[in-house]
Amino acid sequence: MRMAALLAANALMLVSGLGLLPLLGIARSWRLLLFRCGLAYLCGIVLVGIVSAHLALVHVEFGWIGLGLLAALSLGFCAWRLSGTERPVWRRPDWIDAAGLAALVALTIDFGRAFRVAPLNRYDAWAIWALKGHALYAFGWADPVVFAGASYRFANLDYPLLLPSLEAVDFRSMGAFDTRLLHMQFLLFLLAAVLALFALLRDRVPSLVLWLSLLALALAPAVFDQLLTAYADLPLALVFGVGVGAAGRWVLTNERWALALATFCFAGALLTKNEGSLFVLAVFLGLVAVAHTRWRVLAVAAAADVLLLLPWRIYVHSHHLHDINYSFGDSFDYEHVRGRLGVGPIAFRTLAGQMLDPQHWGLLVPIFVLLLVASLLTGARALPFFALVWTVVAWLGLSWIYVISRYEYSSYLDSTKERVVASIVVGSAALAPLLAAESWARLSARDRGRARVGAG
Amino acid sequence: MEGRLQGDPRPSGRPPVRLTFVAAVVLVAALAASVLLSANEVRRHVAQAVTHDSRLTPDERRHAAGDRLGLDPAPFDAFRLELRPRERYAVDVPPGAKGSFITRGAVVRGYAAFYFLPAIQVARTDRVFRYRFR
Repeated sequence: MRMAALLAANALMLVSGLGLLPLLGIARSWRLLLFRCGLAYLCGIVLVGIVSAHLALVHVEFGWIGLGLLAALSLGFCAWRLSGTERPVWRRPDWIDAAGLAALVALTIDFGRAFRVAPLNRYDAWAIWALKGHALYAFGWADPVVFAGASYRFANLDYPLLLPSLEAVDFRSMGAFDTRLLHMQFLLFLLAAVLALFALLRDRVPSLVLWLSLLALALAPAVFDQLLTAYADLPLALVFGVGVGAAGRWVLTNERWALALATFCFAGALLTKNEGSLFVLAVFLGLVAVAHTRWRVLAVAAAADVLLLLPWRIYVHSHHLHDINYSFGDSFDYEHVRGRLGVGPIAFRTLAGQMLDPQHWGLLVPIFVLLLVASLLTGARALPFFALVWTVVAWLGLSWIYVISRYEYSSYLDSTKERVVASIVVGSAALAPLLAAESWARLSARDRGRARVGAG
Repeated sequence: MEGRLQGDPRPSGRPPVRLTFVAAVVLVAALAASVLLSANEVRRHVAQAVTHDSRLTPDERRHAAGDRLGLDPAPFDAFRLELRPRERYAVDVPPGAKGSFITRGAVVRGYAAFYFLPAIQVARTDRVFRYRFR
């Protein structure tokens, strides 16, 4: 019964996401809505997360009624916005797409056997995320007695509330604080993200390459292991990864909807975990580096993200909450930084080792690097430079955190190295199919050119 | 090239192997290798997780976090029975050994905060949860 309730709540999230597609300009007709409907589920999850997290700050509980209202509003908006537009035409589905979808469903069912029996036993999962989710469920809002309480400072109170809010929506839907079925939401995150990447890239990347890339990501052991811990790192990575894919598409095509989608996903990333700020900053730096002539729309996108984060930052500021692990302000503590500068290269190398470890991530990062180089060699510039800038900045930024932290670095690095790299790896994996398609197009053009010269 | 004399300037009769074809084969092979490598590894992880976690009893599941930390569940269960939602309680626990980040005592306080929700942990009040390390 609880499982049915959880799935029903997720179905409403999917419907809510459908309405977001015309709003963000992703679907301007019924035909495009059907073509890109794979984005609806992730958009819906992020939308419900953002709305419920903000409402939690002003003492408004978000449960069945909220979900129902949001879904109804979404459907109504969809019908109004798309009325009279081009209708979808039935086409026989591509057999590779059908096989890929079947493989994704099989993978979800197989993983589901583990997720539906997993215990909530990992420290951050109960001490940070589920504790807050339970408190939101029990009290109906981010009651400062817990969310700013001195006895709860250990729970990283300055971490934003998207994930706990989503957990609270699930608990309200199930009518119980169920620490077992809670894990299913994390698996559904994976399903939603893979569907989103498919819908985002299917008209830019050959089906075989796209599905192999998506399955390589979904099957990566670290994805399974980290989702099963019920930590926020993989949900952050998945939402961020879709944002990176959309940003990459925008770099190539200048489609406004792609940037709108990226902006929305980055807002989700910012509201999932503090580290999201570093990754989103890295991506915006990458975008500015390769698309500075389009600075106006980039400024609007950045402003929208800041605006969506603002209510939470006001809450944090008004309750004097601080990060207990590190403070970027310590970057200017000369004595502290001087004594720990040696940590930087160690962290940099260690994180690289993590990203390249095939037992964690398969060959995702080597393939990404290969495609990046291939793309540069074929003469592409914007996309590979974007990929290079954001990954290097994010990698350096993560390494810097170990330098400025007050913790003993080896313990801190050892206990976090596996999961902090998730966003870089997933973001890279989301860009890899685009890099492949870009290189392919350039090589084909070169081959055609040679053929013409040969014929002439 | 087999069958051709070196330096023969005449074009080959066979079409040249196109770079796009080679690149596509290499890419698909690399992606397929990643899929197979990961599938083989993750299969074991799934099997292990299902085998281990599906055997847990409701009690073991409820105390999974505390068990992982080596905490005695009995005092937690006894105290939780007496708590009402939103009731304030304090925790009395010795600091204990220092771990990598926090002391054992701080871990107990954290676990109590999680386990006793929706009761609320505060620094001082009459209602006190006492925990001693064995």
